[in-house]
Amino acid sequence: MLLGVPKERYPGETRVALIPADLPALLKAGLTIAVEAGAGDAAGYPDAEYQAKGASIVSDRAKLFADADILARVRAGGADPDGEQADLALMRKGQYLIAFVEPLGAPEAAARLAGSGVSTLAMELIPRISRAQSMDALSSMATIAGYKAVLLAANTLPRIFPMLMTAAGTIAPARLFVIGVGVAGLQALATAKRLGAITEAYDVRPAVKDQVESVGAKFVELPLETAGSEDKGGYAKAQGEEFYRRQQELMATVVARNDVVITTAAIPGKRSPILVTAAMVQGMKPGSVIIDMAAERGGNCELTRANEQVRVNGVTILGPTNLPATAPGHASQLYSRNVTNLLRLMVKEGQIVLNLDDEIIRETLVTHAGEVSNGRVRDLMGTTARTT
Amino acid sequence: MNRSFANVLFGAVGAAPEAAAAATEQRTVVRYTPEDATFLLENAQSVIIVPGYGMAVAQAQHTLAELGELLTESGVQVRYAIHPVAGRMPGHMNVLLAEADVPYDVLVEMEHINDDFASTDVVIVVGANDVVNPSARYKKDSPLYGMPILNADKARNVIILKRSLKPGFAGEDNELFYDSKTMMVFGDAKQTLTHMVQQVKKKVSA
Repeated sequence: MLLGVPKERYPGETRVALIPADLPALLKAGLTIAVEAGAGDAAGYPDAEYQAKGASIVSDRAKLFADADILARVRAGGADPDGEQADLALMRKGQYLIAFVEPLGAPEAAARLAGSGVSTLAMELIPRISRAQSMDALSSMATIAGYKAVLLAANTLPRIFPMLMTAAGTIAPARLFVIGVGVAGLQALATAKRLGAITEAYDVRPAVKDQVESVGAKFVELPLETAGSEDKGGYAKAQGEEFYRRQQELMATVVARNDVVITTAAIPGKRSPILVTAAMVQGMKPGSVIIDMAAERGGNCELTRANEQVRVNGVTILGPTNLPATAPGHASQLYSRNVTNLLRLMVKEGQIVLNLDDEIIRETLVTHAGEVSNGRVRDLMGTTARTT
Repeated sequence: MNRSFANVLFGAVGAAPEAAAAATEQRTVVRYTPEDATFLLENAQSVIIVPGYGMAVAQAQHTLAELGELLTESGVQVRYAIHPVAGRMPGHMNVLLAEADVPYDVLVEMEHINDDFASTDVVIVVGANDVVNPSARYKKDSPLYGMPILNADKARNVIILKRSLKPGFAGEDNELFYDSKTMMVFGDAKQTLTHMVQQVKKKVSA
């Protein structure tokens, strides 16, 4: 059974799905591995290192696709809109694909994979259960992204973060506000604290207060009705129009007093809620910075433009859509381990054994045997779910 | 014979631990004090600290680091066993322990320390629960089943600092709490550790 690792072609993508260090475990499981030439270069893993760990290097991408029984990628299907069609043509019935494929945001891409007879495992759908934590790629990427968001903010802010009392006067510490306290938000709060900022955070889920305090930040309490704000998977649920309007009103004061606002509020498969309006941006001090981590799905700030730098009223708004790719060495390391752990669950003695009784396999599988096997994705099909 | 190490010590000193009415599923745990815990540490030569979410919530990393330092200074081998999913985010324990200046080289990954628990005198679990829950090894219907855990239950003595008997993130009761070699010390971790540090300092200067 051949595992193929193509080079990522998505614009700006620097990660690689598998790093040399994880090859031994996969070879032990009975797989042979082929890596496209240069696949790991941008992440700091040269071809020679892959070869040293037992992989073969293939320069012909089409041949790699043709020969591989399993393809391990960072982006594919709905997560790689430009390359999707061309790559699909290279794939065949019975092939396995493990990648981020945007199953909830672009279910029609899943349908196309099903149509080609490809069995797809979407890394976005790894269930958030204890046994699957070692495969949780979303948490891995969010960890890197949260850290990098703060570094980006620190570099963009015309001020420094920590308090300094000097002969030239006192430098007041920066104030940083995180909206949405998932893994990325928590990591951002911890990183900002390390750099010396005063940190506070808000989340619609009241249960998160402890978590905010556990990284040394202050939890912002807004008097809002938040019963039923958390879904089964621990994510924030989408709320109604009136709720968001009231939330914005109360949030405006908090936003205004912070030098940096980092927003992370994403709802799986849906357009991101607007949490920072243009009016709220007007209320911020000139020189302030907003890092909108939900830009890929529309953004949490009304003024965000994905992958661009916007300046309004002296406030800089950044909407980076691929922060993990700015630390590809470690982002790839974590992702590779997540993928490897999933593969080890599926591969026994060089053969794929897909145990559909296993919750992890069942929930992660999007397409199989020519069909979209995943209930959640099927429910979304037929709607214009693509959000740009 | 057949008495736990702690029981032998207490028997010798004449102090009897108070049985608390802390019952869950009709099981009771014995509630110990910070003084009891410190007493246990007096004769320890090897200690492994297992930090968890409770340490983070209590922001007890500085006091914990101080305890670790005091023990190290008196010749005890002190290491921190960091479970890969301790806390609520990757690296949660690392960022807090770094803030408290705990050097990287005493932080040990699960794979590299798990075999050492069996020969360790005392494990101090600070606000960790699921990551030391033995049911993860064998209870097939447990949400923890299949998750590798730290072998804290294999150590000679276990001190657990916890706010209450409430279950951890996975909602599963932890049989380690009821083990006869486990000393449960309830309360805010920072407060408990502050007491322990005071006690250790007193003994060192005595």
